[in-house]
Amino acid sequence: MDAPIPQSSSTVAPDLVARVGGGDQAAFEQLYEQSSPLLFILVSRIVGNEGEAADLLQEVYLEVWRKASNYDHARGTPMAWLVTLARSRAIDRVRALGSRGKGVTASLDDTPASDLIASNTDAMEISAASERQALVWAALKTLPLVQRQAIELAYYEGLTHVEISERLNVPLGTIKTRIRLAMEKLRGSLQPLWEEELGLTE
Amino acid sequence: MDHEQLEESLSLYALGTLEPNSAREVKSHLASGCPPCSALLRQYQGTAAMLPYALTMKTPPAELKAKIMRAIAGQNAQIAAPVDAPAPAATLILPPTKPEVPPAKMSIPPPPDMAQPRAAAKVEWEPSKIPRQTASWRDRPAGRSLALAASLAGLLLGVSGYAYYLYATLEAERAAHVAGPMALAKATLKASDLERQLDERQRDLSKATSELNHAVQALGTTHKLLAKHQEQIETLQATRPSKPTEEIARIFSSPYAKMAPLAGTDMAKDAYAMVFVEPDTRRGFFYANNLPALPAGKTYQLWVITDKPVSAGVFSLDRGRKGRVMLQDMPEVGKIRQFAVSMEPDGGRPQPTGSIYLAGEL
Repeated sequence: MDAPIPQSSSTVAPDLVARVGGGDQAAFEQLYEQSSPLLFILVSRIVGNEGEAADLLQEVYLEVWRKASNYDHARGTPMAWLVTLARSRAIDRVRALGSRGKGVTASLDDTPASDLIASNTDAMEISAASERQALVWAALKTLPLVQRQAIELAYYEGLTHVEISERLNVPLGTIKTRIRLAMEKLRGSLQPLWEEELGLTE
Repeated sequence: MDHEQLEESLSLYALGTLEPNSAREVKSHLASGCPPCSALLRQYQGTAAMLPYALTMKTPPAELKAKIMRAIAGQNAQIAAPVDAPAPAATLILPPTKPEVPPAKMSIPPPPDMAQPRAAAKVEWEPSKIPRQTASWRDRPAGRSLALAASLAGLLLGVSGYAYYLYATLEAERAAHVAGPMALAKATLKASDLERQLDERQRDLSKATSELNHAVQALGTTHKLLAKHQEQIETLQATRPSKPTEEIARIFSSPYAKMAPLAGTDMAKDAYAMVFVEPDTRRGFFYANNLPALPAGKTYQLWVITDKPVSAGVFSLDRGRKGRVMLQDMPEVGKIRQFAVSMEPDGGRPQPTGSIYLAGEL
């Protein structure tokens, strides 16, 4: 549990958040470096354009700076916390505007291999970060198509299951079941990753 | 919702896809204390937190970081300032804000003489030393052209500075000696002398200017040559055999690489894997996750199936139950129909004999 977890450009160590909570600006800068490429693409995807995504991320990071001292590791990993915060702010904004970006319906199928890579990391980091990316991508890819579609709409577009049911014209219960089955399968297939993330591996 | 329904809602809750009312219900159930649900939720949250990784990460614009860092520095100042606002102790000891000084980037590495130009630019301002040096400079090798250009720039400044000095002296002399005719004659003599000198310097100046132009041209050629070398180096680097991590990184980032996901069969429902193959080099990378641990004397073997299965290598699992195989001499990508993984006796077999654990199409 205390074994050092290899830190790539896209994981955030809990003690880093603690330092940010204590007002350490250098720690905050590091947290920004490690998390922003992921949050930026996620938020861009939900709000549908990069300009607005950058604008929103500024608010998100200021909130992170203010609230880092409230972060409780027992309730989830730092990255899960950041992702949840960024996602919910992005979804709030989309709902407030009553509109969605146009680029958000693109499926993961459109992601070529060359896109599955952070371009700003060195070779070692590339292999650590892209290994994770490749695994998540593969885990999603091997889900039945209808389940993957439900996950994409729920997670990457931030639709509620009621909205998904309306969009796909499929009964609500069916959507719930698809999401549940998909999440159950992903929980199994991504276990080594979230265990590592939660610090559960020896 | 009863407990079963609550438990079933956890994955939806973790995804943030529950309706607000149901979400509140789940939240209050968790708050009331239900360890099994809390533990399960954490796993789902960990799972959900992995989902963004399927997307292409992208560094946000640099000015965003600068803006945010400025804003938090400002907020800290506000917190620290008022006496009645009890600021957390740590915020009072502010680490100095890092200045945002992006390193100057050059697309082409500077020639070795780049370190010299400052010294070279200190050309003597004495006029007697200026013109004579220029003739020999043309024959210098192109690699030194940057230093040369800097010297010439200095020289140019020297020449034009001196020309200006002469002009100013001339004007001053004219003004000072308008008084008497003798003085005027003397001044005229001196003025014509000065004018001749000025002409001379101006010729030097135009000569130096043309030298500078030559040097700038030579510099341009050098840069083009450097860029060409750089390109050759990159091409060589791309084709030479490299360390696995470099190789993996290169294949991952190749725009031509083909990917195939492999799904676990009934033998290994949670297992999955992926294959990357680069069509032109016929190299690739295989990566598997969650395969069952191998019994003693067994190994996993990866098969590339064209019209028949061909072994692409054997592998075992690391502690995280991950398996990797570097691939080379793959069949032509268009002919590959499938990939599969079977469990075989140690050392592998020429044809698959054991159960299939993973399978997928390119």
